[in-house]
Amino acid sequence: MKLAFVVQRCGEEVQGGAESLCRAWAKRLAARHEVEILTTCALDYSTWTDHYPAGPATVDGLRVIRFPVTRARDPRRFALYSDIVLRDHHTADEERAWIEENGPVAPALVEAVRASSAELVLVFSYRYWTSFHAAGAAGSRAVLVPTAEDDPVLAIGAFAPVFRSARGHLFLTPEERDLVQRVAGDAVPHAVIGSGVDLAPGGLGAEEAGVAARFGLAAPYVLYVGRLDGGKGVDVLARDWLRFCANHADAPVLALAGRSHLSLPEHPKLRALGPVDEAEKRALLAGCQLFVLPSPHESLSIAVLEAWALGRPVLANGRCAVLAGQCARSDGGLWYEGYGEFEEALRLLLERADLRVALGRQGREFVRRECSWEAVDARLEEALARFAAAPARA
Amino acid sequence: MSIEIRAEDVNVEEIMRQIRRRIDEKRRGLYSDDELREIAEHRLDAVLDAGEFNPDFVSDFRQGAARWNYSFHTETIYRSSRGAVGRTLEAIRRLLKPVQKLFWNPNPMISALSRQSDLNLYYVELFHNLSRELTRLNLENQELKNRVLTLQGRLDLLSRREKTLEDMVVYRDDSGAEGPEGSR
Repeated sequence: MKLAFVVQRCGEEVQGGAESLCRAWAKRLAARHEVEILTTCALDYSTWTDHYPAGPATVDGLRVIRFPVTRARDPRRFALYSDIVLRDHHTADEERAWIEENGPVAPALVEAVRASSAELVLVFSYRYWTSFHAAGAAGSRAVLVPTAEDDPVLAIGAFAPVFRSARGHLFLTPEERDLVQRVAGDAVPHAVIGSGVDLAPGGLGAEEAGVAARFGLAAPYVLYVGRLDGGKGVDVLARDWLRFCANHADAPVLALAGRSHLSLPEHPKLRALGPVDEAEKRALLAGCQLFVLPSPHESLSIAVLEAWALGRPVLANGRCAVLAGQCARSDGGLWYEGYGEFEEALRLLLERADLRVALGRQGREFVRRECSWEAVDARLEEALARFAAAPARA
Repeated sequence: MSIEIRAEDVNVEEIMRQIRRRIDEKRRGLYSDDELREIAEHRLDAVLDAGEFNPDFVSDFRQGAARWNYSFHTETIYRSSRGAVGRTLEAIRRLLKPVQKLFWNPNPMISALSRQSDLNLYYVELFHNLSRELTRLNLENQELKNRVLTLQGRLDLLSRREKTLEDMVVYRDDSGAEGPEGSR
């Protein structure tokens, strides 16, 4: 089968979750199908300015065709329309304007999708200009991979027809499926695919301990890995952590690994490590007491799966239905809504080593059972074959 | 309340239920009269237990006046609790009452102690109600603070939007564009 993937950015340096997922799925499917990725020349999602040269390229062994972005994002106008569309009464025109401001605006990419001979076009991340217009251009060949989160963007009325006219939906979790079906109904064929994770051996070897020491970290420590910004809930986590430390003098250090877009308070129990590479991330995860994820909006957390793959328990923000669902299905972590539950759950996890071990073991078992690449491949193949065989929707 | 976990096969939903039950027990912010009384009593405990105070005394207060207060009548000082012997003793005391009155007048003391017994009842009732009212006010104060925070957030949002709109209008004018496209 000839498959086209549409995603807002694609490159070795691109760190985003949806972009990584697109590459991972494309790579798996390329073993059995003819695959190409259609994307923009952008690297920085805050401006969408062109970074890569336009035209064909090879990324990770995959054929990628990049198209120029014709209009960079104006943060001021985007913030204004976000205020209007996401937090206030608004019109359909304002919704269209928000999609334009969100970007990345790449008309040539949309034309390429229209001209593509691919049987199915897998469109990633519904919220971007590229997905909105590419799904329209692909028509009945469009398979949406929404990577939807429980945030106000999902309530934008302009997206509902895009969801409803797709050939199929591929979701990462059952919670994401429920979210999308709440706004788009359940008439579109769909499948929950998830993402694969390599099951590495758990435990803390000398190499892992060395990485922690290089960052000046001594066990025990609690770890967060990801972007350090308000959208990921890291500001609230830092505030809650310091409040917890004020009530519990023996609290361990909270280590925050990732690029920072926040000014965090200075405190001996709070350590920002800066960006880490994959090997460092794995080593830090292997050595932590538990992994904490405060993000209120996730469609799937790979970091949580990676923590479980290493036998580490998780404490996640329960206001994100996806994270609470992941923890509940795996029995690999606890979740919290508000400081009261954060304090109780964290205190319990820190006090009970046997509980941490049991949750880590159960999380690892869940990853082995549900998130192996073989299982993901099988689900993907079955869903795409079903979508391809289904009659085109009007 | 302690959370019970069998570590060999952990059910996280059960743990979360136990955590929430535990938080409910500690929660402040319950508004029914019974819950309010419970909160007020917790706070009273916190105040009284801080010093060298017999905690049984507080629980006696909650049992009812008969447990901690005394009743005082004109005959109380002549009574005895020693059964048959006591009754004889009481009769002798009554006989000697006129003689005793030659030395001192017990009536003011009887009147004062009787009044004090009534005052004790009154003070306990008063403090109990005050403590409950104070708790209610605290909760209302907390709720109002939260509302102020919410309104402040909304105000910040609107101020930000107003500022952006103003900036955009100026920006458009400076650049010689046709009009304030961004204004609404």
